[in-house]
Formats: sequence, structure tokens, C-alpha cells
Amino acid sequence: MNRHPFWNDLKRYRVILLMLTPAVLFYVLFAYIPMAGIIIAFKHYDYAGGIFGSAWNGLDNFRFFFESGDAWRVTRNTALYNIAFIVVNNALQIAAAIVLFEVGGKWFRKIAQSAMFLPYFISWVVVGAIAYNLLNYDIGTVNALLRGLGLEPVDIYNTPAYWPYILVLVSAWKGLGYGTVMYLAAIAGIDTEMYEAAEIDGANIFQRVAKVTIPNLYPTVIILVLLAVGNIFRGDFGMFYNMIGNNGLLFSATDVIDTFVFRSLITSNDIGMSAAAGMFQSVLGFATIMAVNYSVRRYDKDRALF
Amino acid sequence: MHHRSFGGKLFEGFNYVFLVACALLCIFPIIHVFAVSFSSSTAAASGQVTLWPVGFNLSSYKYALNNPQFLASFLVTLKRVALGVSVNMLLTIFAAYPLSKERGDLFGRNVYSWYLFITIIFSGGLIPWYMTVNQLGLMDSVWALILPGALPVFNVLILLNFFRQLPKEIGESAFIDGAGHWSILGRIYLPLSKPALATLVLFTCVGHWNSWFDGLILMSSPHHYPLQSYLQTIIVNRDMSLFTTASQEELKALSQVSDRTLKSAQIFIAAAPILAVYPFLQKYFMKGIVMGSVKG
Repeated sequence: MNRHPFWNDLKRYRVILLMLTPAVLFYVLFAYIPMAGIIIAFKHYDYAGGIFGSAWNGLDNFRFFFESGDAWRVTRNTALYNIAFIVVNNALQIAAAIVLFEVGGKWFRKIAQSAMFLPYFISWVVVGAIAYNLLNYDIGTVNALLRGLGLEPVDIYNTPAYWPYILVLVSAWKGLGYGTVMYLAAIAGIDTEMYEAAEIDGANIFQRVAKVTIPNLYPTVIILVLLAVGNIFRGDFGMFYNMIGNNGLLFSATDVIDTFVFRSLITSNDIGMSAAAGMFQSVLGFATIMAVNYSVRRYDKDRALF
Repeated sequence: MHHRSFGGKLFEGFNYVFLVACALLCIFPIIHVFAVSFSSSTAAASGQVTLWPVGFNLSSYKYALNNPQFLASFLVTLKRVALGVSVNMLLTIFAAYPLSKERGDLFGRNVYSWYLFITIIFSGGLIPWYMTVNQLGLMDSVWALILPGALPVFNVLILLNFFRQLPKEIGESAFIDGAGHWSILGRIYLPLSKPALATLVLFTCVGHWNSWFDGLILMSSPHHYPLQSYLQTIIVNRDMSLFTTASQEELKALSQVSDRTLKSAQIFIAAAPILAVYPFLQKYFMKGIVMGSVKG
């Protein structure tokens, strides 16, 4: 009799294990094999050899990436843009959630919220196309309006200095509805007795918001911000690529790690160096998530990722 | 009732202004595109159009809908949405059910959770991923748009959290009555999970409809591009070289619609289906967002 516990288990759980098989295979193919493929960052890639047959070249790809001077620029841009997005987006979303919660009129609230949610559903391609329609020099609506007012048109697509503001604005615009929902859910979860008590104590509307709503939002804000900080080295490729595209005039102000990796791959076909830059980003991202998770854990054990 | 001091009224007035301003800013750009797409080419080119069509006409739409490349891309998108949503949902359901079980009911449960989780915190990056898809022979087929993203961990988390909230007794009593996992999942779990399933179907639909990057890099023939990848190429990157099959007649027809109104019509068609349905489905999305923020 072969009554080894492992075979027993396998038999007992066979249906459930069968159900899990596609998922296990899926992550092997599309997550774990690519993870192993990261070794090309340490190789001199040639098409004949492929990932495994190409010759090793130690840290040359990394040296090339860091010595090119691009590494610092794109890493700094990625982090600074993400910090700006986190601050501006969360502030606006919290404000919108508080205001939505305070105004009367169910229909007004519903329509306002639907309108704010609209940009979330539009693809970055469409956003990029709309932005080009609005902002370009020759036929853009903004410049048409400026000319109509007798003012000098601005050449936005040739002026890097405008872009940090434009990108922060676009990010806030697109994320407003989504983030507001999270904060609104947090506000709706606040114990109504607190509001009643504030009412009895004669608190006015400002005191109610400042002393009840906002302090009760702190935990949600801290968690959402921390989780966002975990992704601080991941640039939103869809956004940057569709807003800027291949417009080299703007790269000094708008190039992030993700666009840099993509461009080195497509235009200079430098597979080794792009892979090294990608791996540098993955490692930075991993370290940040670990640090963030540690902080979340210390703050509120239940909200930690692991 | 709340106190209605002067300050309170002022605050309320400010609230309305703030919300109306936010709401209008959010919808203006899309209304602008809508207005341009229905305007005459001269009015659009001279920048007279803001929020209402000037010189109303439908020629841009006629041209867009008669353009074979646009239609081909539209069909690719429809196909990827239909196939992609079905594959995603099947895989998600089969992954979420076992993982929603307690440790004793699934052997090695923690191992599987980690197995999924590691994929969120570390990835190989774009290049190894691209090479894997290439090695699997998926390039230039519609499956390249479907399989690589077929099982987002986020969706599994939403569904398994929902499964966990269902009363355990129902499953247990069915089990005693001799039901197996397949029928417990199919007859009990799934019918009870309609809100979560609806949310996921919507997330997946929107995701597939709006995806552009995978089409751009995984499809080698332009007529296999989904709509968003096609628009990315011709409108955002303004690269017509891939689509230079236009005949003399087509070029002549193109001269009658301005580049700008035509592009606006295409943009509007690409955004319209989702804009038409999302207000009705918004409550599901909101539920999904809140569910997704709860840890699994």
C-alpha cells in the first residue's frame, strides 16, 4: 500500500489543484520566465544566441547606462514627477471627497461625481490626442484663443519648462474621480455619532470638517500615500509616452525610466543596456516596496501588504 | 440639521462652485473633441470651434467609417474585448476559488499566495517579457493581446475576498450533500458573486478597450492593430508611414475633410462606447475600487 501523505494530499485536493493549474502555468510563462530573462542585463545580446546563448559581459551594460549620464536624469525625473503627482492628486481628491460629502442634493452629487470620473475611462492615447489638439502651436485651441485675444501664441511642444505643470495637471485630471471614490468611502465609514456629538457641541461646518472628517481620514491618507510611494520609481509609461511621444525637445524635462528604456530599445536597439536600466528600476522598486511595507506594518499591521 | 451660519453658507456656496468647476474641467476636453468632429474643416482649422459644432456636418464620420484600416482596427478591438474578457474571467474564477479556501482545505495555500504575490513586487521588465511572448510564438496573433495579461493579481484578490465573505455554511452543507467543488463553485459561489463578477467584467472590458501598448509592440502587421494602437500611431505619433496604402481616390476624399476634424471623429469614436455606458456602471466600479483597496 502506498500511503505516503503527499499522495494522499494530492488525491484529496485533486479538483482544487486542477483548478489552480492554469494560474500556476500562467505566472510561470508571463511572470517567472521573464524574471529569469533578466540575466540578459548581464550579457552582450546577439540575436543568434538569444537570452541564454549570448556571451556574458559582466556589468558592462550597467556601466554604460550609468556613464551615459541618463541614469541620474531619468531616475530623478521619475521620482520627482511621482512625488508631485502623489501630493497634488491626493490633496485634490481629499478636497473633492469632503466637498462631495458636504453638499446636498443627491442628483447634483451623482452628476458631479460622474463628470469627475469621466477622464478615468479615457485611454492615454485619446488623452494624448486631445492634448495635442488643444496645445499645438499652429492649430491648437489654446493658441487659437490666445491669437483671438491678440496675444502671442505659446509654442508649448517646444518648451520643456511648461511640461512639469502640464503633466501634473493631466495626472490630477485623470485620477480625480478614482481617488475621490476611495476617500469618499473612508468618509462614509466615519461613525455618524461623532458628527452628532459635534453638532450638539455647537461645531460649525468648518470645525466639523477640521475636527471630525480630516482627523478620521488620516489613516486612509497615510496608507494610500505610502502605497503610492512604493511605486515611486515606476513611471506611468502610458501617460508620458502619449503626451510627449518621440518629441526629443522635451526629453530634458519629461524623460522617465520607462520611456528611456522603451526608446533605447526601439531607436538604438540597445537590448543589453535597456535591460540593465529595466533591472535597475525593478530593484529600486523592490527596495522601495519593502521599505514602504515595513512602514505600513508599523503603522497598521492589518493594512500591510505582507 | 446643520448649523447655517453665514460662514456655513459661504462654505456651501464655495463647495458648489468647486464641484461644478471640477466637473466642467473634467468633461470640457471631450466635449471639445466632440464639437470639432462635427464641425466644418474650415471652422476647425481656423480655431473657431470651442464647445459647440460650427458648420455642422458628418463628413468626418463618413470618412472615418469608410476607412478600411480604421474598421479593421475596430474589429480587432471588438474581438480582443470579447475573447479577452472571457479568458480573463475564467482564469480569475479558477484561481480565486481555491485561494479563497482556508489553509486546511488547500494544501500549500501560503505557497500559492506567495507565488502570486511575488509577481507584484518584482518583475523582469519590458525586454525579457517581450522576448518571452516572442518565444511563445504569439507575435502578430490576437492571443498576444489576450494571454500575457490574462490573470491580473488584483482581479484575483477582489474575487477571492468576495468569496471569503460568503457564509461558509452554504458550501459546507452542499459538500455534505455530496456536491463537489465544481458544482459548489458553479451553483453556489458564482450566482452569489454577481456584483464582484460584474465589477471585474467591467474593469477587464475597459482595460482591453483602452490598451494600446501591447498592440503597438506585439503586432507586426498594422492591419492587426487594435483601435487604440492605430490611433496612437497615426494621431499621437503622427506616423503615417505604416498606412501608406491610400489610393488616389482616398487621398482626394481626405482633402475634403480636414485632418483635424477627421482625427477628432476617430478619437471620439474610440472613446464613445465607454463614455456611453460608464455612468450606468459607475456604481460597480466604485464598489470594485473600494473592494480592491482591502487587503487579501
